[in-house]
Amino acid sequence: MSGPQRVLIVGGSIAGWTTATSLRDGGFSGELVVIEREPACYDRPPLSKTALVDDAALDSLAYADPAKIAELRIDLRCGTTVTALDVPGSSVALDDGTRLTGEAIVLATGALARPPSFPGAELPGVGTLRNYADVARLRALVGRRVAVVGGGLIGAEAAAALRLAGSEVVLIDPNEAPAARAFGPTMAAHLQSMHAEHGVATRVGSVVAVTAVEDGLEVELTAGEPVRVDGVLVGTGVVLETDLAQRAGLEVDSGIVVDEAGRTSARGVYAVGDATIRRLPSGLAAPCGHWDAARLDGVAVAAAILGRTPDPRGADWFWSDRYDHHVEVVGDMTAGETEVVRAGAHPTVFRLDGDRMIAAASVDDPMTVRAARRLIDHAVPVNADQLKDPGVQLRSLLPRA
Amino acid sequence: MGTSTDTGKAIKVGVVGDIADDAAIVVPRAIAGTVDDIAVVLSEGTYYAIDNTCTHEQTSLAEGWIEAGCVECPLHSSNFRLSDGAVLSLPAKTGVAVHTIEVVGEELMLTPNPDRLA
Repeated sequence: MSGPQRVLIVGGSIAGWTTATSLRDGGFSGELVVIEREPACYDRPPLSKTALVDDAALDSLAYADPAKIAELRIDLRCGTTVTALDVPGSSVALDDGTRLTGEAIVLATGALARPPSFPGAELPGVGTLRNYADVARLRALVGRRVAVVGGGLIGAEAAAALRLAGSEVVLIDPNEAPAARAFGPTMAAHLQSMHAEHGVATRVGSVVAVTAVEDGLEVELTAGEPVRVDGVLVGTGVVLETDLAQRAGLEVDSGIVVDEAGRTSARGVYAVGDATIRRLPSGLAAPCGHWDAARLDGVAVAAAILGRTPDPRGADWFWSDRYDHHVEVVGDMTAGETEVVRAGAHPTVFRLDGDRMIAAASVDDPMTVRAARRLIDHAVPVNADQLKDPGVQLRSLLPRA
Repeated sequence: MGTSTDTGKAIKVGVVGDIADDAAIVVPRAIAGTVDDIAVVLSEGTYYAIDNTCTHEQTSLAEGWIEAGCVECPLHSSNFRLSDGAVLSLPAKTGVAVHTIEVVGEELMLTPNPDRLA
């Protein structure tokens, strides 16, 4: 089999970057071009956490320094946007006028923060959080009055980071327990209760409008008194970057449709990370959007490009860090017939289908979720009494190798 | 404090049976004379010793998931190979230093890496 001589990767965040490094790890010796519109290939999870308030330099978030990039023989084109994908020509057009061809093209185009639609969204001091440049701007809100709109992962983490750094924070979300889709209702309610404990005011409702007033911004809500702040951080979801794929005629639904190895509907074109949705035997999966899933997409696509069968994928896993607490989730916390809660300083929540674990969520107890991840992936039968018992270490339920 | 005369000197850090399989103990830097605490790890019958602090966000690797000669960081799951400290997956970008651990009779003898002496 003759593999590709040149691979083009459109996007150098976690999915695209991992594709590149996994190709090298797998022995790919051809040309590797990564085209990234940001000024560097860098890690985004810290942006809503420590990096939001600790003046982290972009270099400290970058996956590799120039020496490492050279060692990996990655032709990295930062600050460059791909304007078109030509499937029959196996090529991409760049905004600097260049056209590049490659036998394999990987779309790692990611997602953008969903822009707010309320009146006043364009005012200075109102903005979203997705890129390093956003963080550099939002740091001005440390120690000030901030309204965080959206209590999901980004909003809750940003609210916590700003609060710990001394800001006065109001968190606004239409739901009593936001992010229930990610954490399940029980854990979502527990996590939401942490905000009040740390002095963050929570308001149930939506933003009607933001207006400039003499001492800052006034945020009008669907219920209750308006809020006076110095800045508004909007974290209300993302818009998947599917435009390039769509214009090239690839199959696109709510995301770029891929199979388990990251193949799109076009031969030689793959897609990874946040911009994709997976076709399963049961139908199209929902977009995932988590860091580890994007990383594993990169590992899988590199295997596929090298003509190997990607490793089977286990349950999705993610973390969230807030108020010096570490939250972990594996599996789908909205699935399963029954819920089992292990009581403690924080609840640990398990979702079960019969005697099979489907999902688990913990706070400051990552080893329970790491064990749960393996119990789920190996379909180990479990029983509710053991899961409830704080004296039972979940690892002891795994068969010894 | 470590001095040049300490280089290569082994310290008894425990005996066989002190560490369960796929578990670790921490040898404080003050005892090891090193710049970082040292995790002494048993995995699949082999002892290893590595710098204990994850190179990503400063957490104790001894608290991580130890399996098949690797430790997964308890925070963000970066995977480190115990034999040479190499990092096998992001978000950590650099590996951890390794030290020499030997079983002498029933005793676990740790020789700190000379490059990591305080």
